[in-house]
Amino acid sequence: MNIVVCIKQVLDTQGPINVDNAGEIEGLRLSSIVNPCDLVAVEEALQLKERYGFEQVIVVSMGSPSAEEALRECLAMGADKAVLICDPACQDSDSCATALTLAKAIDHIGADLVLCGQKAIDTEAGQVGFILAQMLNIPMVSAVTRVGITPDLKQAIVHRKLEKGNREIVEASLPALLAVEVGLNSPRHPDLRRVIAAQRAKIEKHDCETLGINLEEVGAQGSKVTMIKRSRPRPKPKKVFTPDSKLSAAERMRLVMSGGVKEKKGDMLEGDPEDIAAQLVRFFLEQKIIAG
Amino acid sequence: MSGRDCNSILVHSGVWVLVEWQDEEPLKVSLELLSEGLKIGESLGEPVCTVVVGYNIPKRVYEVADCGAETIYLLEDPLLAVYQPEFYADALSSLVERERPKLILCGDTLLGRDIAPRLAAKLGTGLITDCVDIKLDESGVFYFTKPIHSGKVAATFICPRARPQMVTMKPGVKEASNQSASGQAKVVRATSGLSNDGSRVRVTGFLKGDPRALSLQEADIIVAGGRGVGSAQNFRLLEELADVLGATIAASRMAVDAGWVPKDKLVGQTGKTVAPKLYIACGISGASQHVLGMKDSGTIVAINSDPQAPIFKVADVKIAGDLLRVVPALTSKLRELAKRADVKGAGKIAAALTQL
Repeated sequence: MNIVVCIKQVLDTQGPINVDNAGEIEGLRLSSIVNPCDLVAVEEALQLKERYGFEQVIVVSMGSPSAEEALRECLAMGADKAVLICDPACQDSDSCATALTLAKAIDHIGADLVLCGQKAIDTEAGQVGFILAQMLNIPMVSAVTRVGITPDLKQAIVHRKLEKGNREIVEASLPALLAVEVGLNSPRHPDLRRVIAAQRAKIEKHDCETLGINLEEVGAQGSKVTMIKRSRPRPKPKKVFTPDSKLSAAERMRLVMSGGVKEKKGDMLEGDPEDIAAQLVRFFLEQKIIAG
Repeated sequence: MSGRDCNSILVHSGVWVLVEWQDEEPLKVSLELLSEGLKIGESLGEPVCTVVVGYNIPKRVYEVADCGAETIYLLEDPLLAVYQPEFYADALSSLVERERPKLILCGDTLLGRDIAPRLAAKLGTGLITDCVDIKLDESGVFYFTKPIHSGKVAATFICPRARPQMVTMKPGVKEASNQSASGQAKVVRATSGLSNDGSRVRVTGFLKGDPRALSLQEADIIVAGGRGVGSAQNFRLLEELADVLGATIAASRMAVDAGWVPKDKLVGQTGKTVAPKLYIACGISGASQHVLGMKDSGTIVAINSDPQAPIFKVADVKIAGDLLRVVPALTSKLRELAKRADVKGAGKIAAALTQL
C-alpha cells in the first residue's frame, strides 16, 4: 500500500518582498521552497508509514526542472521515490489543469492514500486537492489537523478544522485524499548524510506524452481560469482619527498621538474584593458575556 | 476519469448566492454577498437567486433573500441537517446542472472553502477563491481580482468558457445593504435526490476546542496579565479565571519579557492585535503600545492597584485594587454560579442574579 504526496515548489514570498507596479515580484532574491503545507503532508506521510506499515511514500510534483530540488528535499526526509512531471505544455496551468496532470501521474503510480497541502502560498487557490480527488474518483477531506488509519488500512479517521479551535471527526474510506494544514506536525530536518544521498537519487521523470495526457487539457489551453493581470494590491483605506476641533491644540495633539483612543468615562468600582467580584459577575450576566 | 466540461455559455443565466446559516440566522457574509449579487444582477439584467441548504430551515433565514432575489431555492433533506461534504456537493451540483446559473457567489468561510471547490470540481468549472472584487465589462465578461503571494500581489482572472463561474469572498469584503422585503421572491423546494448509501465521507463526531489552545485572534474572551501580576506563580490565578470563563490567556510586554508566558501570547504593537468580546487586563499599566493591540475589544475590564494607571482611560469597568485578591474572588464567584447553573435549569439566570 502506497502513500502518494503531491508537492509544489514555490517562491518563498512569506517574508518582505519587493513588488513593482505591474505586480511583478523581484524574484531573484527569493529562495525556492517546498510549499509549507506540502512539506507537512510529506512529514505526515512518513509518520503514517512508520505507524501503520505502508510500503512506500512517493512524492510527485508538476513543475519546471528546478522542481527537482524540492523533490530531493523530500527524498532526504525519507520519501522512497520521487516523480517529476515536467513539460512546457504544462506551463500556466490553473488548478484544474494541474490536477489533471497529477491525476494521470497518480493513476500511473497507484496510490492507496494521497496527501497534499491545503493550499499553495503563491496562488492561494486551495483547489487542487478537491479537483484531484474528483478526477481520481476518491473521497476527500480538507483542512485536516490529525490523521488516523484503521488497523485494516481500509479507513482514514481524521480531525477537520472548524472555527474557534473546534474539530470535527470525519471518516473516509480508502483510497482517499487528505488535504492538510500547517500545524499538523513539524516537518523533520534531514541530516547531511541523507541530503547528500538524495542528491544522487534517481528521480522518475515524465512528460505529457509518457503519461498519455492530451496537450489541450493542460497549460493555458486546458485551464478554466486564466490570470490576465497582476498589480500591487490597493491599500485598504484606514479610518483616520480626527480630533474634535473644539479641543485645545495640546489636547488634539495628545489624542492623535495616542492613536485615537477614546477616553472612557465611568466610575471606579469600589469595595472589598468579594463585593467587586459580585458586581463584576452581575455586569457579565447583564452584558450577556456569560450565561447564567 | 470524471470531470465534466460546462461549456454551453448560451443557456447559463442568473446570479446565485449560497446563503449559509447558523443558530437560525443567516451569516453576515451571506448578506454581504446577496447585496453584491443584486448589484451584479442589475448590471447584467439577469435574475438573482439564493440557495439555502439544510434541514428544518427557519423562515428567518431565507426571508432575507426576499429583498430582491427572484427565486429562493430550498434544498432540504434530513441528510443535509449538518454539513456532510458529499451530500451537499451532490445536492448542489444536481440543482446547478438543472437550473444553469451564470455566476455563483459563496462566502469564503470554513464551509465555503470546502463546498465551493468540491462543487466546482464536480461541475468541472472554474472557481476563484478569496475574491475581493468583481467587475463586469460591456461584453459581459467578469473580471475577478484576488490577493496572491500572502496578499502582496493582486491578480485578476477571467473564466472565459466554463460555466457557472464560481467565486468565494471573505466576510467584510463587501457591504451588506439594508433592503426591505419585497415579498416577491418565489420559494422553490428543490428535491435533493440523495440516498443514504451514497457517502464515502462521513462526519461522525465533534470535538470542542480548548480555549487554552486557541489563537488570540479566535478567542471571544481574553484574560491578560502584565507586570502587576508579579510572578509566574501568580499568573496561575489568571489561568484559573480563564478556565472558568472559557477564556484565553494573553499578556503585555512586561509579562512576556519576564518569561511568565510564551511569546505568542503577547498583545500589543509588536505582538498580536485582538478584539475579543471581553478583555480583562490584570496588572497592566496601559502603555499605548499595549493598548493599541486591544483597544477595539468589546468590553474592557481593568484591574490595577494604581488608580492613575493609563489603562483606566480605555476601560469600561475600572477596578483600582489588588488583582491578587480580586481575581481569585471573581474566579470563585463564577465557579459558584456555574455550580448553581448545573443544579437549577430553567430560570437559572434569574436565580443567580438575585443571589448575588
